[in-house]
Amino acid sequence: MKRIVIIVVLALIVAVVLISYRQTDTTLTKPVITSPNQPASIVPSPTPVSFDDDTDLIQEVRKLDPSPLDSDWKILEDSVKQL
Amino acid sequence: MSKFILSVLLLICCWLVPSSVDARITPEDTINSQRNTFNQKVSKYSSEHQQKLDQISQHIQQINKSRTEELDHLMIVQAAILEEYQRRVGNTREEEIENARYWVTYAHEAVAYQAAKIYIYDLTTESNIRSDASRLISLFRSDLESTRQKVIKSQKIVEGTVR
Repeated sequence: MKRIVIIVVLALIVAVVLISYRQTDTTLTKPVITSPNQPASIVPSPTPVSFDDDTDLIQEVRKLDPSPLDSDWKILEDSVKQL
Repeated sequence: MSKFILSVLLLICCWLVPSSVDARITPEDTINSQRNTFNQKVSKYSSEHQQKLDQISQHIQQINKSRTEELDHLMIVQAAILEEYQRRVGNTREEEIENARYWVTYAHEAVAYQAAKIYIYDLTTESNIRSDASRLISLFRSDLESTRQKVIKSQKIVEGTVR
């Protein structure tokens, strides 16, 4: 009798663990936040990226500096001042 | 002895069950809850303030969209450069290339995550409207700067690899 109880409890634990992991996993793999106004803006590069054999890759990497954000912050700061 | 084992097993069960319940609260639920709270509060604000808040919110969305699109493009080019470098050097320096690829992927995921973020005001009172708006802007600024720094870090690592 005791063995049966232990087996049942163990089976329950396994079931709970499996369910909880599955739910957690689903949460993690879901798109985190979605909005009709702001779709995830993953836009493919307009032109395919390709390089010639003699392209200087170091120079190519150095061209990839992101734009400064100062003008964006200025727009937002000015908007707040209008409040 | 068997009672002890049963007690331990039951305790483990009690510990596991709440975690499965917590997992049911999705990020969408959190966002919807924040949005509802915001809508309730902002409906009591003057129409001028409502309009201004909406305008700032739109600015945030536009900036986030344009900047994350730019960062996304940079990450695509970084990945392409790394692929080209691997093509040139073959299997040599495999470890360094894999490390660089890890950071490219990490930064690219961060960009995608940032692109999908929604910023909702956490309003207190109408008299505090300026500080409430500033708080949201600061959060957005911090998030976007952090994402940008990840892209720059990835860029440096790729540069160090292809050098």
